[in-house]
Amino acid sequence: MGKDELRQALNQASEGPERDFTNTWMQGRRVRRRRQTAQGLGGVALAAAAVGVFALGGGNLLGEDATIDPLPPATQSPTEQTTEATEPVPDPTGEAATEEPTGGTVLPGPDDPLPTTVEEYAAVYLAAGLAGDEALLERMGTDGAVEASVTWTGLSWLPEPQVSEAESGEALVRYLAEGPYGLTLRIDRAAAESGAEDAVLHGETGDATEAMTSEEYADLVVELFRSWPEDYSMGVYATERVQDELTQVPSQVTWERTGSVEDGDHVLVTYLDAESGNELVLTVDRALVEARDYYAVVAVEFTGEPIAPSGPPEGSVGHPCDEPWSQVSPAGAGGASEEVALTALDLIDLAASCDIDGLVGIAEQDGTAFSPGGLSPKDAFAGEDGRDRVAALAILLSAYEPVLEANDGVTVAQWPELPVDELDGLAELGLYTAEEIDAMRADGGYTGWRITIAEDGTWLGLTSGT
Amino acid sequence: MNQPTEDDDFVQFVRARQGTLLRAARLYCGDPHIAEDLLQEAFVKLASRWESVRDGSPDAYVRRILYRDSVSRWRKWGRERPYAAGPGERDVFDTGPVSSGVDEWVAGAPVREALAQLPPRQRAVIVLRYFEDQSEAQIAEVLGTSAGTVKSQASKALAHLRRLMPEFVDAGMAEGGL
Repeated sequence: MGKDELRQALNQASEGPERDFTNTWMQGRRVRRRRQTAQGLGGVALAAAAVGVFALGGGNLLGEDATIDPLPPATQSPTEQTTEATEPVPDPTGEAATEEPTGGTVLPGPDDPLPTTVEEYAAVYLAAGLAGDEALLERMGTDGAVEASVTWTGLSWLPEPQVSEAESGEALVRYLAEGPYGLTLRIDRAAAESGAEDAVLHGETGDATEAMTSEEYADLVVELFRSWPEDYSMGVYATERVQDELTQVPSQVTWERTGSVEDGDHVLVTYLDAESGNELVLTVDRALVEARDYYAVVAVEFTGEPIAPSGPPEGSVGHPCDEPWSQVSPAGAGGASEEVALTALDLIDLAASCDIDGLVGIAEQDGTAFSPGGLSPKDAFAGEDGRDRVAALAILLSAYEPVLEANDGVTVAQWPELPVDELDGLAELGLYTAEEIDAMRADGGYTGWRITIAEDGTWLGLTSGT
Repeated sequence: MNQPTEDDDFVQFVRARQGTLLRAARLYCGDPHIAEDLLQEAFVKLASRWESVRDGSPDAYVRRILYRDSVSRWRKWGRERPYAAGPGERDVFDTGPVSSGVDEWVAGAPVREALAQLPPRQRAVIVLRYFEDQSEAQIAEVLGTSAGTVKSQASKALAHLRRLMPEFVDAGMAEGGL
């Protein structure tokens, strides 16, 4: 008996019915869009870390010289190993873990008080995780933080983290691994300083940026700006405000760095487009760069002729299925929930690029209703009528904010809700002819396409009529 | 009418690898339904990062997600994780067997039970080495640890398995590690 038998046994034990997961593509793309939006909206460094645990392709996963390590394998005889192997879980008391893995940090016992500074609190929490002291982890961190600890307990972390303040009385304690990893512990400062439990609110391993100067960081943003927003990489290096303002800045030009100057905690890096004479100044937060963190470009100043802003397409714009629209965004959420806004963003992205499969996929998932009633999503987006529906989605979402209506306790966002005196604007959008608008006016109001999304983000319908 | 997308590559990858990865997921968690959930979530995450992963090692990416998420579940549920019946097994709420024609699943129950008694990292080492035929270096990458730790974990896991199912693991194998 040996390895072949074990292989055979595992093979047999893994048997089961086949499943098809090829339909996960669209779900993943929705996650991607939501992540992009979250990164844009949140402005929190951890947003990138929370989704980027993996760095493939030769990163040094466990630096040999790192000084805060996971619980190391014991050097034992085979007999001792057999004895220890009967223990399937880490020692919950942490007694066995107060040696090397804690980097010299003494772990408090179950009845001992917890540290009362943010720095010590973070150090003990980190050491508890590396030592496999589950009880201490659970005492010091929220359920979510403890659950996320699985992403970092196998790595080696450098000492001397950077500590900074976040909003709402939270402190961010940032550790680096020698490889491409970063770890930010988000700590409730007041709770930590009073020695309370559950002060660690979150902490998950993520990619750390490479070590760079502020100028190199700005250069990277300028380089990634060329392929943004199709490639969303720039979004993790610049704040939401910067991303918004960059939509007004030409990207397909040659931006040459012409200088940089320190300004307190920031570095102002200047770029010039020699052809147009336009100038771009990026403001870089030095502390974030030194912490190898994200969103370090915190402001942008552009001098020159801005590009045409995104917004409602003009009547002369072609159909998105003939030529994809670029730089189109929802007109606004009109006070609707974030889930509504995200679904609207999904729909306008898909419609603007005439992604029929994507639209059908969301409609099938959400049970979207089409008119006439009973129309399946595939049929709804087929043929010329399908083209009309795609155009209606892209145009209405980009031109109008929704109106919120409560119905049986459920709030529904609806695009558009137009009084008679605003119907003429529809002609400029190219969605309806003057004759069709006159007919609506005769009917007493808008009777065209309506998009409805429930407050939980479910796409309820794309219907027309009264 | 549709725009060109990258989903063809993704679908091709999933189609090629889903069978083996699903079987590995079953070994990680011992539960066929949770295994499907784990793999589905892993593929969704892969799709969400396809641009940056496709030219590297999507296989390693998915393995690592599977490992991380299965450990996360293990931490949450511990040994008291809910155990859904597989084909041919008795559900805890049922008096009769679940209908099945898959004898292998029933025959594999002792092995899955033995794996379930290993800590997740040891279990992962066994699955990656003896089911997926990964090298020590590849296993180290998936687990985010060193090759030395992989050896140590493998040694402990094999010693443990030898106690639980001596018919599959002999003494020399347990002592020799990977």
